Amino acid sequence: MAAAPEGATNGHNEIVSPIEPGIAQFGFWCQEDLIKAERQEQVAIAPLGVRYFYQTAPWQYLAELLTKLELDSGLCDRPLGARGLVNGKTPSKDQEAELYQRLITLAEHLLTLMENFYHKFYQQQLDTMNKDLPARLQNLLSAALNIAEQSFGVKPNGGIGDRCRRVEHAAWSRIYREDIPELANLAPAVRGLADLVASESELRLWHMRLVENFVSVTGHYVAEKPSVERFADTILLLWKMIARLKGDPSTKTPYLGEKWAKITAVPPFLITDYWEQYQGNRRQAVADLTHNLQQALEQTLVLSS
Amino acid sequence: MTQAQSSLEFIPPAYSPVIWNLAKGIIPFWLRYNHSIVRVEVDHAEELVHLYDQFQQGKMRFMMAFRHPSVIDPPCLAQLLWNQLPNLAQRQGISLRSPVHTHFIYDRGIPLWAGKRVGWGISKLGEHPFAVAQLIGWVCDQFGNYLLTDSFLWLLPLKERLMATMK
Repeated sequence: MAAAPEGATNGHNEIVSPIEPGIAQFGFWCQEDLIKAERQEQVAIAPLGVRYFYQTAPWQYLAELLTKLELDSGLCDRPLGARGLVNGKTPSKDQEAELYQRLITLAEHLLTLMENFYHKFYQQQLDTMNKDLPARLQNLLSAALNIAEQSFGVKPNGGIGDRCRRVEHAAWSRIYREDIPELANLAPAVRGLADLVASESELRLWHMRLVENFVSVTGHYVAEKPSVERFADTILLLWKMIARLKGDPSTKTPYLGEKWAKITAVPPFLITDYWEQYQGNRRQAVADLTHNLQQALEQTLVLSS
Repeated sequence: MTQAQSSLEFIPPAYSPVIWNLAKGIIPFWLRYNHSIVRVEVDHAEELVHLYDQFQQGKMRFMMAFRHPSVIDPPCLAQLLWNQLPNLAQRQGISLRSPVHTHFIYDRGIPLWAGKRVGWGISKLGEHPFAVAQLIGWVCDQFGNYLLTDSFLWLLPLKERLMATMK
C-alpha cells in the first residue's frame, strides 16, 4: 500500500507539511490483525522522499510566466519580459534580486487585491497596517475560509489544512446528498431547493480551493534559498491562484522545460519497535511514530540536495 | 448551476492485470509527453527491494509513506515500482515476481475533478478510495476533534475501528 501522509499536495519540493497520524495507526491495526490471525509477518512503514529537478534551469521561462501573471493580475499594463534571463544560465546577483523583487511585488499586489475583495464584498475586517507579508497572508487565508465556514455553520478549529477539509466535507454533504435516497423522485419544488443549495455550496468551495493552494506558503521559502526550483514552486502557486481568479482552474500547468523526479528511500520503521509502547499508550505510540515519520521525510530533503 | 447529486458511492478497488500491464507500458510515455518528466531516479533502492523481497516471501507487510509536492508523485512512484524496481532488484541478485505493485490510497475527491474515466482507471489498478473530507467531518461530528485521516482495505469498517481506538 502507499499513502501520502501529508494528506494533500502542497506545491513545495522542499517543505514537508505536517503529516497525519493515519498511516501510523494503520501500521498498528495491521500488526494487531496479523497477531489475531496468528500470522508471523512483520509490519513496516517506508518513508519515501519525492522531488523534482529541471533538466535546464528555466530562468527565462519563469520570467516570461511572471510577465504573464503581472499582466493578468492588473499589476502592469506593459510586459516586462525576460529581462536578459536565459534558460540554463545562472542569473547575475542583480538579475536574481530583480526577479525576486518582481515576485514580491506581484505577491503584495495580489494580497491587496484579495484583501480589498474580502473587505468590500464579504465584510471581513483585515488589519493590514504594519503587517509583513506572511502575517497578511495568514490573515487573508483565515478570512477567506471564514466565508465558507460561516455559510456552512462550521467552527474554525485547528490549522488551515484541517479547516479546508472540514469545509470540503460540509460542501460535499450539501451537493452529494446522502439524506435523499432517490433524487429522481423528489417533487420539483424540493428538487429546486436541493439544486440551489448545491450551487451555493459549490461557489463557497471556491474560497476553500483558493486557500488550499497556499497551505504551505511561508513567505520566505524563496528568500531562504533562491534556487530555480523554489522560484518555480512559488511562481506556479501564484499561476494557479490567478487561473482560479480568472475562472479557469483546470488549464494545463505552463511548460517550464523537462524535469526529472528523484525518489529517496530511507530505512523503514518497524511496528514491532513501537509495539510495547502501543500496548501501554496507544495515542502516544501513534504520535511518536508519526513524529519520527515526519522527521524521516524531512531527512529525505537533505539527502536529495 | 450545480445540481444536487446522489451520495458519493464507494469505488471498489478492482485490480485488473490487463489494465495494469497496459498502464505499465504507457506510463513512461505519459509522464514524458503529458508532464515533461523525462526520467525517475531513486536513491537507496535497496531499501525498497528488500521490503518487496520480504513481502513476496510472506515475511513482511509494508506501507509506503511518500512525500506529496505534486499530483504526479503517484505516477512517478508507479513508474519506479512497475518498470524500474524489478531490474534494480535483479542487479542485487534478487528476482521479484510480477507484478511489483502497490495499492495507492487516493482521495475520493480526485475522480470529482479528474473525471469518471480516471476514477475507473485507478480502481482497475487496485487503488483504494478514501474520503478524507468525509471522515474528518464524521469524526468531528462525533468527537469534536479528529484522530486520523486515512483508511485501510482489510478488516473492520473504519468507523468501528475508530470508535474502538478512542474508547
